[in-house]
Amino acid sequence: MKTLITARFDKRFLDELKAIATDLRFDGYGVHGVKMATPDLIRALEGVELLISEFEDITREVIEKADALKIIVCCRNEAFASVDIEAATEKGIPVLYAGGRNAVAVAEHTIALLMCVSKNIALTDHLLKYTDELTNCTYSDKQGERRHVISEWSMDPRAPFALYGGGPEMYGKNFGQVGFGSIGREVAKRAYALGMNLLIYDPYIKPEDVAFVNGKLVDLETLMRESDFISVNCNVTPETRGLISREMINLMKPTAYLVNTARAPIIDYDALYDALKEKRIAGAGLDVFPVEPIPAGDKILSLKNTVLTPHLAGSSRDIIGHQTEIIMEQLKILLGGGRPRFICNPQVIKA
Amino acid sequence: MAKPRCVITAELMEPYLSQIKDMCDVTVGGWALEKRLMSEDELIGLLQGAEIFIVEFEQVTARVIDACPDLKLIMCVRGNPVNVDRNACTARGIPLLYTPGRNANSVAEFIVGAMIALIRKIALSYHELRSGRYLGEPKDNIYDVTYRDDMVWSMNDPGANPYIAFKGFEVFGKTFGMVGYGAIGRKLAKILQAMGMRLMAYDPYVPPEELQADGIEPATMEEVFSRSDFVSIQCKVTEETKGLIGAREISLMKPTAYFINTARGVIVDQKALMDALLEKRIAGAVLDVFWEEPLPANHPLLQMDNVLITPHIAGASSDVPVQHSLMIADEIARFVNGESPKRLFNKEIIKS
Repeated sequence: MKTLITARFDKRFLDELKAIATDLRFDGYGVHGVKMATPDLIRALEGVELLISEFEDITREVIEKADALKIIVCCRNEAFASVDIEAATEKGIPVLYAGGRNAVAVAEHTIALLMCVSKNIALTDHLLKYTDELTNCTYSDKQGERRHVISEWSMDPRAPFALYGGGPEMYGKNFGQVGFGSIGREVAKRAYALGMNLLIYDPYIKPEDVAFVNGKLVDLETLMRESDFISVNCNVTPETRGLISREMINLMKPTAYLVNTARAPIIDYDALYDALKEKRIAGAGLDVFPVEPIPAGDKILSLKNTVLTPHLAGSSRDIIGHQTEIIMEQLKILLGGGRPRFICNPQVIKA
Repeated sequence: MAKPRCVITAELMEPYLSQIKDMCDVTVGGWALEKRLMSEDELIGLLQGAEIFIVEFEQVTARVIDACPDLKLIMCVRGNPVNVDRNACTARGIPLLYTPGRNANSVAEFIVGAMIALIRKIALSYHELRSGRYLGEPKDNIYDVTYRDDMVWSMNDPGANPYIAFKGFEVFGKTFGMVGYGAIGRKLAKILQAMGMRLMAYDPYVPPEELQADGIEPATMEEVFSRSDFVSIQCKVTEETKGLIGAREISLMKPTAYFINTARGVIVDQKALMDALLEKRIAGAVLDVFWEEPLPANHPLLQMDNVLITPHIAGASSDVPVQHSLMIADEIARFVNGESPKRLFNKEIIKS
C-alpha cells in the first residue's frame, strides 16, 4: 500500500509497518513539528492508499480529492478534532484512531497527584527550595548532643515530620473511581496494586468489567460518602457536566482527597474551593481548571492543601510509543478482515 | 498473678493500646504524652520498677539500661532501633524487639509518588504556578465562563505552553533497580510491576530464586547501576552499608537515569552524588534523606530543578503507628504467655 505518514511514529514498529506499506513516505508534523498546509497535503496524497496522520487537518476537501485513499489512521484519541469523519464515511473510508494513547500517562499522573497532596511531596519540595521555613531554623531538640543526630530532621513539634508527615497511606483505603473507560481502567489497575478497595461509578459498566480489580459498582452518593481517595476519569458529556456537584462534594469524608485529571466542567469548582478552604475535605490534586491558564490571583492558587499542575496529565513523550503500538494493532485487525475497537465509523465496515 | 509493669513512650494506637493495658500495668510518658523526648535521667526515673519498656525515639543508653534493673524486655517501634543500645541489652540479657516493615507501605507509596512527581514535573510546575508564572490575565469572576469541553492551556506560544515546557515521561516500561530487597522493596516491587515497570534488585542476603519468584531479576550492584532508569536505595544503615554507594557505582549510571534515596544519607557518598548531579552525569534525583538534617540552607540541592527533595517524611504516614501498635500488642501477648518473640533484634542473645 502506498502510504503517507504525517504522525509521530515510533521506529520500533517500522518493520511491522513495512510489511503493510510498500511505498512509504514520512512528512508533515511527525517530521517537522509543523502541520502540513492543506494544498501540500492534497498533493502529497496523490496515489496514497493509507494515511497515518496526527494533527494535520484532514478536511472534506482533502478527503474528496484523495482518489486512491482507502484507510485513514489518526493517531489521536480525539480523531474527530482533526478528521472530517462524515466526509470519510461518505466515501466508505474507515477512520481508525489511537484510543487511550495517553491512558498510561494520565493514570500515572493521577496516582502521583494524589500522593503529592496526601504526602505533602510537592509542598515540602517547594518550602525547602524557595523558602527558609524548613532549613534556616532552630529546633528545640536539635541542641547540644542531639545536634549531631543526622539521621533525623528533628522530632520537634514544629519540625517537618510532625507538620508535614502524617498523611494517610493508600494501602487498605477506599478508592472511588468515577468513570471506567481507558484511563479509568489504568488508574484502577494501579489503585488495586496499591492495596486499595475500589468503588466504581460508571453507568455503562457491568460488574464483570470491574472484576479484574476486585471492584464494586456503586452509585455516586455511596462513592462520595465512603471513599478516602476519589478520582474523576470521564469525558465531558451532558450527563457528566456538573456531576460532582456541591451536594456530592458535601458528602465527602473530612479525611478524603479528590483528584481531577479529566475536565473541569465535571466538578463544581466553586463548591470544591469552599470545601478545601474550610477544610471539610483533606485535599485535592487538580490538573484541569474552569479557566485555563488559571487567571493570576485566582483564589485556588492560595490553597495549601491542594496541588495544582497546568494540564499536564497527558503530557508524556512516551505517548508516541503508545499511539504507534495502538494504531498498528488496529490496522492489522482491519486489514485482516476483523473489527477494530478504535474506529470512528464502524458502519463503513458492515457495508 | 500481677500484671507486668510497662512504660510506654512510643505512640500507640487503639485498639492495640487497650489490648496492652489489659495485659500490663501501663504508665505512659515522654514522647507519647507530650511529643517531647525525655532525657536519660527522666527515663531512669520513669522506668524504676518497670519490666517492659516500649520506646520510639528516646535514647536508651547503656546508662539507662544499667540504672533500671527490673527491665526484662525493651521494644522499639522502629524498623531500625538505632536509639537503643543493642550491646547493652544483650550484655544484660534483655531481648530488644523492633517492628520491621512498620512503614513499608508508607515509604513504598512515597517513592512511587515522588518519582512520578519529579519526572512529570508535578512539584516544579506546582511551584511555578504558586509563584505566579504560566498564569492568565486576572478575572473578576473566574466562574463566569462558557465551559468548553476541550481545553488547552496555550498553544500559541510554545515557550508559554506548560504542556511542552513540563513534558515528562512515563515509568511504564522503564527499569527500576533496587539496592536491598527487604520489607519496603517487596511492597514497592508489587506496585511498580502493576505500573508496567521492569524490576531488578541487588541484595546479597536474598537468594536469587526468591527474587525470581517475585518477578524480579537478580543482579549485581554493577548491573543495577548500569542498566536501571531509576536506582533506589532500599537498605538499612549497617557497618556494611555505610558509604556503600560511592563514585564508582554512580559513574555506572546512565545519563538519563535517576537516583532515589529514602533510606539514609550515610549510605551514599555525598560528594560522589553531588558531583554527578552538578556535572549532569545523571538526570536527577529524589532525596528524602541527607547527610545532615535539617539540610543546610545553602545546600546546592536546594537550587536544582531536576532534584525533588522532601524533609525526611517518607515514612511519616498516619498509618505507621497503627502498624507498629499491632506488632507490639502481638509481642506483649507472646511475652505474657511465655512464648518466644517473633521480632527479636539482638538475635545474638539466644546463643549467649
